[in-house]
Amino acid sequence: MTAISEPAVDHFKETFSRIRSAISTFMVGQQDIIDDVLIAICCGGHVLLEGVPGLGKTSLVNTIAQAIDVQFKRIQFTPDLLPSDVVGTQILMDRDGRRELEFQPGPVFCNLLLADEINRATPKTQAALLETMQEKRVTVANHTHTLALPFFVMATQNPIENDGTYPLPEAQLDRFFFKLQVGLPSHDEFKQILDRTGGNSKPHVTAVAHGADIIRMGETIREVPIAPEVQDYLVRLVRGTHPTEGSPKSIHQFVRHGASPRAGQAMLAAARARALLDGRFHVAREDIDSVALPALRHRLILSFEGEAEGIKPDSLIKDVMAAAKS
Amino acid sequence: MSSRPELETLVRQVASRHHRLLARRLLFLILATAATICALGSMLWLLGGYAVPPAFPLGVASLSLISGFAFWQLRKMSHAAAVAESDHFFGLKDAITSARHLAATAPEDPATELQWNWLAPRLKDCRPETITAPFPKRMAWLSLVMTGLATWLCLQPPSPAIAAAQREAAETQSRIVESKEQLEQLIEALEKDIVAPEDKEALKMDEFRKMVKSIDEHGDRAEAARQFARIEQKVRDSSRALDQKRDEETVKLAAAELAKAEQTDARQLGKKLDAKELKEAAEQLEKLAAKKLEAKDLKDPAAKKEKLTEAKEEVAKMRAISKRLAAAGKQRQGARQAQAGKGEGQQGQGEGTAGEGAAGQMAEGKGEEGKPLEDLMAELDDAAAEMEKDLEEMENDPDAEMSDEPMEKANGALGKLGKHLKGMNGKRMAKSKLDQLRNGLAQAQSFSQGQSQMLGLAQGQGGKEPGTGSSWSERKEKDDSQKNGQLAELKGQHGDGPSLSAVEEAESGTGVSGRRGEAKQREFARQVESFVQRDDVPESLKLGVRNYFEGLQSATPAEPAPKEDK
Repeated sequence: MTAISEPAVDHFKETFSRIRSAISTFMVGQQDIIDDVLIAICCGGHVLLEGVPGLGKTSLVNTIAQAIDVQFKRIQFTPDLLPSDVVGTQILMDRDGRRELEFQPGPVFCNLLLADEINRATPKTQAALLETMQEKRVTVANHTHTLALPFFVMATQNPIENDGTYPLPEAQLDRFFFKLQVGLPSHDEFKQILDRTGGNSKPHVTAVAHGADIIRMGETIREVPIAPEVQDYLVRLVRGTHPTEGSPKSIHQFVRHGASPRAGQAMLAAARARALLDGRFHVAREDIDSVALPALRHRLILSFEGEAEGIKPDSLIKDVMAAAKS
Repeated sequence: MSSRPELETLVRQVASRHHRLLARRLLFLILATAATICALGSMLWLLGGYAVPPAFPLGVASLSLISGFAFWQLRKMSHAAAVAESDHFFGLKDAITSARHLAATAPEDPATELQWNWLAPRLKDCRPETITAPFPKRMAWLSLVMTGLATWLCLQPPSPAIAAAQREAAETQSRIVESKEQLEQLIEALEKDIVAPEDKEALKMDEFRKMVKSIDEHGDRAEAARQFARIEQKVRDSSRALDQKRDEETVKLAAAELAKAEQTDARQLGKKLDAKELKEAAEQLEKLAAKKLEAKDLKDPAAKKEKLTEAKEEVAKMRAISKRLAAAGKQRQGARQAQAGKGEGQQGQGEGTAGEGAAGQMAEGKGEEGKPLEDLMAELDDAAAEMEKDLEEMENDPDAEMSDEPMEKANGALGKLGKHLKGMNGKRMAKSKLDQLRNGLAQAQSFSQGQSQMLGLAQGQGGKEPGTGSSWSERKEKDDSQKNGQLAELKGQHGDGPSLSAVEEAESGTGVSGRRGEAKQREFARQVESFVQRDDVPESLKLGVRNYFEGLQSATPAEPAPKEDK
């Protein structure tokens, strides 16, 4: 672990900027999404990207994989996908006349895993990712296999297709560092997308960072100090998502369960990264506010009334932020 | 907490700036609130006709200042809040908060240095004077308008009726104070004249002094009148207890009898009794005491004759006086019996007088061994007669022996009579003092009610005492309220109002028929009683009427006196 120092901070900012620039050679717009994804990667977190088809979710992950020189694999989740198709399985091998079982690693054995349309797989297959995402290891036939670091899961899901989908359970959702909602590009961005992808030449993304850079960036992030008052604000924010005393009225009305302490950990790490990106060496309330929506929106479990009313978690989180400031 | 003085200075400046802005806002808010309360309270007073007491706006202002200061103290920004506000206002994104924390917890940490390097250049641009708040124009206008209104209302005078009542109350209060002072001086002066301890005890001047001191000084005339009346009643009761009307009548009869005597001594004694010089009369009576004859003087016949002659002369003097006194006593007894017989027919009417007489007799009875004066006179005459008889027997019979018993009896009777007369003199003086005090109280009551202009109880004749001055000037404009505290003036045409000469019907009385003169007198007494019971008659006038009838009563004791006003 390296103590925070000016070179470490410079390395963080420089590497982050390089990766962002490399991604931007292919991706048009979506700067906030790119930043959030990169922050999550630096913090060692997994990202759930949600958006309608064709917005570039998969392209974004592919581009990131190209920009960071890490092993990249992709799993297209389908209803008939089995857990062994994800984590790997033991197969019978004939070695010099001797037959023995040999572990055949699945696609999770990589540094960057794209779980495309994750909500199309059955819960059983989705659950196979649980241990992998949290513990960064795989257990097959009583044998535990550790994954190489860094390891990130970038999952995508389509919000409008409900038929044949299996919503992710709360426990699995909580394992995602951020849930990012990919929106439509603006008019100008749209035109740029058409310009870049309409011709024969495809933009080539070169690798500008390695896995070790990502690990070092994560260590730098964790050294950014936070004042007790700011930490207190963060705790109030997370606790405010629960329908308990002191939380806003909308939370009481529409939320069944609030965010877990893991959410607080994610917010703190992301806020630290935000502070560094802003050129500061301390965490501010603004940093926490800026990461509250992606860190909390998938961790709020709405009540029946909230579901029936079609309440968006983002509006509830804004209420909590307003209450925590007062 | 922080080891960065520039940070603390900035935070203090920010806090101070906020405190000043808060104070400005609170000042107008408190001013408007206090003025509104003042205006509303003042309206309550003014609607009741009263002027607003100065204590009210002063009290409201003081309370407002205190509450405003307390509110300001409560709402003052805490240090932590000032830190957060500094971060927020200067857009430092919690840098000051973090810097203070880092400086306190990890001053040597590289992160602390990095963080400070980031903050330090930005601090130079932080100027607390740029923290401003809009001037509270509306509140300022409101507070000014309400303050003006409240001031105007507070300065409004009371209604004429209330002002008159307040002036009257103040006048009454000052008059009560003056009356108290003068009454105390009067009691002091009266007490100086009394030397004998028994007289002092009888007069109970200390008790009256305490009662005078305990008079409450306030502006309620009715209560003041009640207080003075209570003391006056007490004084009157004490004065009645000293009444010795019966003995005085006897003394008067004795004076008349002694005036008829041939002996010079007896006539002189009569004059003294007539002049009410009872002490001197008592001393003269005591000088009449017979001297005891010594046995050695009686052995020699010539000396015996001489001594007997001298004794006979002395006894003759005593006898001449005792006879007159006894005659007067008999006259008094006869008159009493005659009056008692006549009084049975007038029992209903003369109840009050008889009661007073009885009270007087009871009081007198406690004097000389419970015997009235006429009995002592008769006893003296009997003893003198016995002594004279004894002397005659001795003169006729040379062998007869002189007995001491008649002489001692006669001397004892003389002593008792003298002592009784001295006692009468003391009571008379005490009664005179009490009457003076009573008159003084009546005058004080009248003065406190505004029915008289001056109260000169403690002053001698001829104005103020030496060394005391006055700013009084006849040339100055007079304030009507200083006349007597009453602004009510009589208006109307001559003859419209009730006439003093009109015959008024009495409110009480039975109208018992009798002799024409007595009926006339009773009618007059009833009219006067009715007159003195009227509320609109000034106390001084009532006092005059009362003194007149008391004078009549003492002048014609045999006649039933009109009942005094209660």
